[in-house]
Parts: sequence; C-alpha cells; structure tokens
Amino acid sequence: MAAFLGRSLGSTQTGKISVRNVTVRFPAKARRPTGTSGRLIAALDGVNLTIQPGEFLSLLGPSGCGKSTLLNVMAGFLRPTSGEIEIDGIPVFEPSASRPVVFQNHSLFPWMTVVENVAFGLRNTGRSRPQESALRQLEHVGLRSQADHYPAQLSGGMQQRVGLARALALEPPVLLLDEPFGALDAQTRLLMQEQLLRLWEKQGQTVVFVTHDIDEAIYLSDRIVVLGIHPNSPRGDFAIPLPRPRHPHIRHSPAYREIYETLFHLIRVESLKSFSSGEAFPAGASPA
Amino acid sequence: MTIREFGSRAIPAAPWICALFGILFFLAGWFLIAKTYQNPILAPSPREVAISLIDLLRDGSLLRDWTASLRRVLIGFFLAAGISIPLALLLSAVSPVRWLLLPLVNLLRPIPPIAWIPMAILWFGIGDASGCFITSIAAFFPIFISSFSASTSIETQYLRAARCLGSTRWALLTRIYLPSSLPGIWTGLRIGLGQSWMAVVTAELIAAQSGLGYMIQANRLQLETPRVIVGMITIAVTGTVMTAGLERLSRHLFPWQHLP
Repeated sequence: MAAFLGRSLGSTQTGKISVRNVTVRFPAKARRPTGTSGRLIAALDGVNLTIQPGEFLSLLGPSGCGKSTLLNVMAGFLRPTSGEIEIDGIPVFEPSASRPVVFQNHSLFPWMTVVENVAFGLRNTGRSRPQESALRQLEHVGLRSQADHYPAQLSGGMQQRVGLARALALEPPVLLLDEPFGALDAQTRLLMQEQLLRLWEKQGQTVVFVTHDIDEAIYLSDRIVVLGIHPNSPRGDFAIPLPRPRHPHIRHSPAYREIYETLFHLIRVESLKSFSSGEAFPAGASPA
Repeated sequence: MTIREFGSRAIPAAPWICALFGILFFLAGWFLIAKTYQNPILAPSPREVAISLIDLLRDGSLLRDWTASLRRVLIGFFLAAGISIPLALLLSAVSPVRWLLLPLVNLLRPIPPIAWIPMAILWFGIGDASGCFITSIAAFFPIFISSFSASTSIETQYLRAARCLGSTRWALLTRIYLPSSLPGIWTGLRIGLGQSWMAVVTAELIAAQSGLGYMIQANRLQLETPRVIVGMITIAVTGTVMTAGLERLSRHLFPWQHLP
C-alpha cells in the first residue's frame, strides 16, 4: 500500500522496477511451479532487469520465451521459484492497484456495465466520485457514449479501450500490458497503439508491454528487452532513440528500419529454437 | 430492406404460430379418437373434459387441490434452496468440507424422489409434511449441482483482473464471485422448481389426502376420467407457467446474459 500512497500523477519519481535473478520453473506436464519432483521446465531462467520510472519498456520474444510469465510475476499473480521483484524498493508478493494489468482477452466483467467496470478499481481504492472519474476516463478513450452498455455489446477494439481506461483510471505508477492488442485486427491495432501512446504521454507512468510483434514494440517503446529461449533470459537490451511524440509514419524512417532489421534477425534465431525443439514453455500457460 | 441470413426466419412470430398449430393438431386428433371409440372412460372427449373443468372450478375443489400442491412445492422448494445454495458455496470454498460431503451428496443423488416416499410416510405420515419432504428432496439436487458448478467454475482471468484492480476480499465475494455464479444458481432453481412440481404429484398419489396428485388418483378410482385429465392439464399448465416465469425474471435479474 505504501507504494500506492506514494504515487503522484505524472511523476518520474515512482515506478522503478527491479527484477533480481528471477527464475520460474514449471513441471514439464502439469505446468505449475513446484519445489523438486518431476522434470522441470524453466519459464524464466535467472532474469535481471531494471526499469526506470516513467520508462516505456517492451518485453519482446517468440512464443514460449516466458515474457508473459515475467509480467505475471511483476503483477503479483505468480510467485517466482527464486529471485524477487521490487517496485520502488517494496517486494512484490501480491497483486495491487498500483500496477494494474491490461489483458489480451480484456477480462472485462460481463455483469457490469462499461462505466461500472471502469469505476470498479476506483471504488476498491476509496477514490472520491468514482462514477464521475470513470466517465471522464471513458471520455479520454472516446467511449463516453457507451458507458451504459455491457462489454459484450462492444467491438473487440472498444472492449480493449475500456480495459485500458479501467487500468488508467487508477493513475497507477506502473502499468502492465500483456499482449493487449494481440487479438485485434491490424488496422484497429495501429489505432490502439497511437491511443495508448497519447494516454501514456499524459500520465507518464512506467509501462511494461509484452508483445511478440517487433513493429509494435519499436513504435511504442523507449527500450526493448528481447527474451530468448533455452535459457529463457534476456538476449538483448535496445534503447529506441526515435523522437517523441511519435507519428505512425515514423515506421518509414531509416532509423526505424535499422532497429527493425536487428531485432528481426535476433527474434528469428530464438523463434527457430522454439519451432524446432517443440518443448518450449507454451505461451500463456501459468499456474492457476 | 433488411439483410437476412439464409435459413433465418421470414416471419418473427413463426415459432408461435407453429406451436399453436401443434396444439390444435393434438386437440383435433384427440377429438377424432374420442369420436371413433365413444368411450367416456377410456377416451373422454375434450368437450367432456371442459365440462368437468367447469364443474371443478364451480365447486372450488380444483382451486383447493391446486393450492395444496403449490403450497407443498413452494415450502419444499424454498427449504431445498435455503440449504443447498449455502451448502454448495461452502463446499466450493472450503476444500476439507468438500472432501467430506461431496462424495456423500453424489451417493445420495441417484435415489429418485419417489424412492423416498416410503421413508417419508414412516417419518412424517400421510399429509403435508411428507409432501414437503419429497418436493425438497426433488429440488435439492438440481439446485445444489448447478450452484456448486457455477461457484467453482469462475474464470481465473476475472479473479486476476479484480485483484490487480485493488479488490478487497469483500468486493471479490460480492461483486465477482456472486454475480458470476448467480446465473448458474438461477438455472438450478428453475430446474429444481420443475422437478419439485413433478415430485409433488407423485407424492400425493400415495402420501396425501389433498392436492392434484390425490385428486387424479381419487377420480381414477371412481372412473371419472375427464376429471383425471383436468388434473393432468392443470399440472402441465402450472409447471409451464412457473418455468417460463423464472426464465422471464432472469432477463431482468441478469440483463447481461440476454443482450440483443
């Protein structure tokens, strides 16, 4: 809670994430973290990483590299087999409203209207006027007129914008996104990326963005960490020196192309490992 | 002009019109059989049944029997719901209690309510108490099974989402677990009420001195077949109305389940 109370809007003082020697092992079949017995697969193998306050960092890697697992450990959903994660000096041991997650499948509560979904976190954390704040947040993502709809009545892109609004309404120091646009069509996806950047530029929190899409990672990030397979650990750490605010056309600049080429070859090597071995840690698998 | 998919309905009311025709066909067939056999005991005509219905409504006995049955159903149903829903939630939440009681519940479940009638008579005698016992047994298992599976099958994603949005234990229970399992519980209630209504008739055939089941049995002994059929129709209509009523109610209670 202390980390949460220490939050301040737009501050670059909070939201520092330290990943220290994090290892997560799952049994080969049951895919649950375990102590000893059975053959174990390391979803993460001694990962070290420091993320600066206000940094937009993407975890990029092929299916099975453990990028989602790392995000789940940061979120406090998953306890690492060894190692630890600290956020602003406080160890992560359970989920918190100071680092909400935007999920790939949006995970909006189907029994709540759109505005109630957004207000849910605000009510939990005892904010004043949760309903009004939620409506304001919906306006930021352009969905004010859908406030009283149920999630099932919205398109995939709209659902994900509500998911984004629900997390951003908390004005958290850290925002975690787990392949949030992975299920959207290509055009919607580009628009969502732009909207995310605009929203982030306003709030300026630390963002950890998990994706397997090289293009998406370059366009959005200050920094990209590439995770590889066997062992599942970082292969490269790339600063993205593209100017901000970023226009979608930045994709056509030579600097962008150059970064793309480098990442493309690196990711291809790791993908081939996963492709040919057939025993990589499956994407999205995690303990219940 | 609207676009329609191949195979979709041209007339929105078509199912209703078809249903009406189905019933009319049935009645026509019935008329024909009654006309052919001319036997008011084995095949009374719809006209004779209608006359009996008016008689039974006039002397108030149909309403009396109907009320008696309905009362037994409602008492048994609410008793069953009051025990099985909390029990199902407890079993889904506390593992040792689940290990203790779930095998027992599963073992008792295959016993049909009718098989409990002899014990009911021994314990409660002939009358209301026996009827209520049987209806509660009939409603208990469907409600329990649906509630248990609804409360154990909540998706991890919702729990994770709620927790990373700062959900307290209380909010988790009241705003996540409960609303996500209510539609399942409601399905159990609907099935349970139907089972309960079927069981009351069975129970009254044997263990009662009033009610629609008793009325059917008594009229059978006096070869008053038209009255037997009046009883059967009353049972059918009441059961249908109850089930449809609960279904309608669920649209208001769970609007997100019935989105256009």
